[in-house]
Amino acid sequence: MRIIDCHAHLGRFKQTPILYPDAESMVRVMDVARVETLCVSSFLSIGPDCRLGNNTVAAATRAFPKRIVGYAVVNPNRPEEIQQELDRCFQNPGMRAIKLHPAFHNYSIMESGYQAAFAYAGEHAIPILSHEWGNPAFLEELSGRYPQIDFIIAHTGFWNGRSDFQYAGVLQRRANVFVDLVYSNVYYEVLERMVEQVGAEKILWGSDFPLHDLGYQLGRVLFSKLDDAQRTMILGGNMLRILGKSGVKL
Amino acid sequence: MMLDASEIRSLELFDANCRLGPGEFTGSTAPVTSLRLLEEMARVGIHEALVYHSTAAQYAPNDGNAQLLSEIEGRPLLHGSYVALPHYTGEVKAPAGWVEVMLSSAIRAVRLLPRSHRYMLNDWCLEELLEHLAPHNIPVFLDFNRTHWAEDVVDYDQVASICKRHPMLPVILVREGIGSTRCLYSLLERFQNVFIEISYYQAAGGLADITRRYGAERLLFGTGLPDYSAGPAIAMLGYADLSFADKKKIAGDNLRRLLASAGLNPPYTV
Repeated sequence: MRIIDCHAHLGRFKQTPILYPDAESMVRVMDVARVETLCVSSFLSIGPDCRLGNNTVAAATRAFPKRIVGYAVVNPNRPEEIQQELDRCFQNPGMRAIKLHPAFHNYSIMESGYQAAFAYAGEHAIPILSHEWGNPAFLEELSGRYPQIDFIIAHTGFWNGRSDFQYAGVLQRRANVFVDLVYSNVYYEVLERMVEQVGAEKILWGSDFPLHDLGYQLGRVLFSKLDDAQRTMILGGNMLRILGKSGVKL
Repeated sequence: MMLDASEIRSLELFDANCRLGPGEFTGSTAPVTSLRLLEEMARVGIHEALVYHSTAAQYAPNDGNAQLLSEIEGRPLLHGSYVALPHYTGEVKAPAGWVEVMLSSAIRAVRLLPRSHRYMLNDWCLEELLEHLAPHNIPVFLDFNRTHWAEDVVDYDQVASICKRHPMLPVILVREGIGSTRCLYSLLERFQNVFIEISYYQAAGGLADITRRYGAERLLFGTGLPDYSAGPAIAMLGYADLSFADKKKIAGDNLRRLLASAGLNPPYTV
């Protein structure tokens, strides 16, 4: 069973100490947990300095080309920089996707500052992971407008497993929309209910490592009541397919 | 390494943060009865659990504590924990009598929910109760109803004050998250009677780091069942960069030691 982490980070974090802040130490932990590849964005990029953070991610992908795949991050508060920064990032073969963090950048995903990033991703068929996607209708429209982009909803869409899963409809209707499992709260049987609603083929495993513990986030799948085929898809198979479409051979 | 079921079982997991009864946000399939809870524990490899009751935590302590006793009767792998309140309103007996009844019911752990029950941990509010718990070494579990690691729901100054006033009283912080790490390390540094329950403490490498700095004795395995899945905490402990001996302490031996110190002895051990 191959384990590919679709949502991880690199560097330090203002709110808590990070014990594995560099690629070398992260890879050692990955080896223990048998995590094959991490797809990472820099905490610095989702914070104040996209350019410098993206540079550290690019360097990590060069140091560990089979183990680390890079997300380029752009800041919608500086929209005039987006095109140039994405051009610069994707010169590096290890940078394969875009990560957006509307919460930390304090800018709604539905506002105009992100349009340049969507257009760029559409032109180059680059997957986009976003911390949040706002109104499901917005994601429905966007994923229809850009069928060549794979859209990843982070953090289970912050679903608690009991209320209506607001993204279930768009996940069911759009082949290019996925949801990741990174969420600090692991409500009882939320994964089993998510599989019932959207299917295992739409769910990606991620950890938020090195903020969150790899083992903790693996536990939500390993101790679930899913069968091996479903676990295989969620833990790595689905993300391998998405990366494969972007030309990543792992 | 993938987790090995026999290794998990050999840790003799003792869940320090587990509840009986339907909760305010418990889903319909969650294991809320003693039988269903024991089935879920067996499925994931947990040997035994310290349980409180949702009626005590989310309705009225007296009612829920009584319900707890009846629901764990004849269930030797479920050990009870009472929910307490400041007694001045008359909702519960004064501490001398309350603690005596608790001890006579073989209960050796207390859970306080100051945020949910709207009181303070300061001496003017809780001192009489703590003065009656401390001589018996009763572990006190502090539950601030944390639902996210970034919430500021704990007054660590009050926690520090309790630890300072009662250095022999075991104080267990329940469902602490990564956003509290800087406060938790400061508490662990200064107060030997502070313990961290790990069900939500998912800092990458955190268990090994706390063990290296303060000893494995300061960590207690817990899950948050039935509202939360048990698997994450089990896997985190299983994968942690720790010796088997340290994992076993965190898994259950630390809690067994605390309960034994309060007078709860085998046959509850495996």
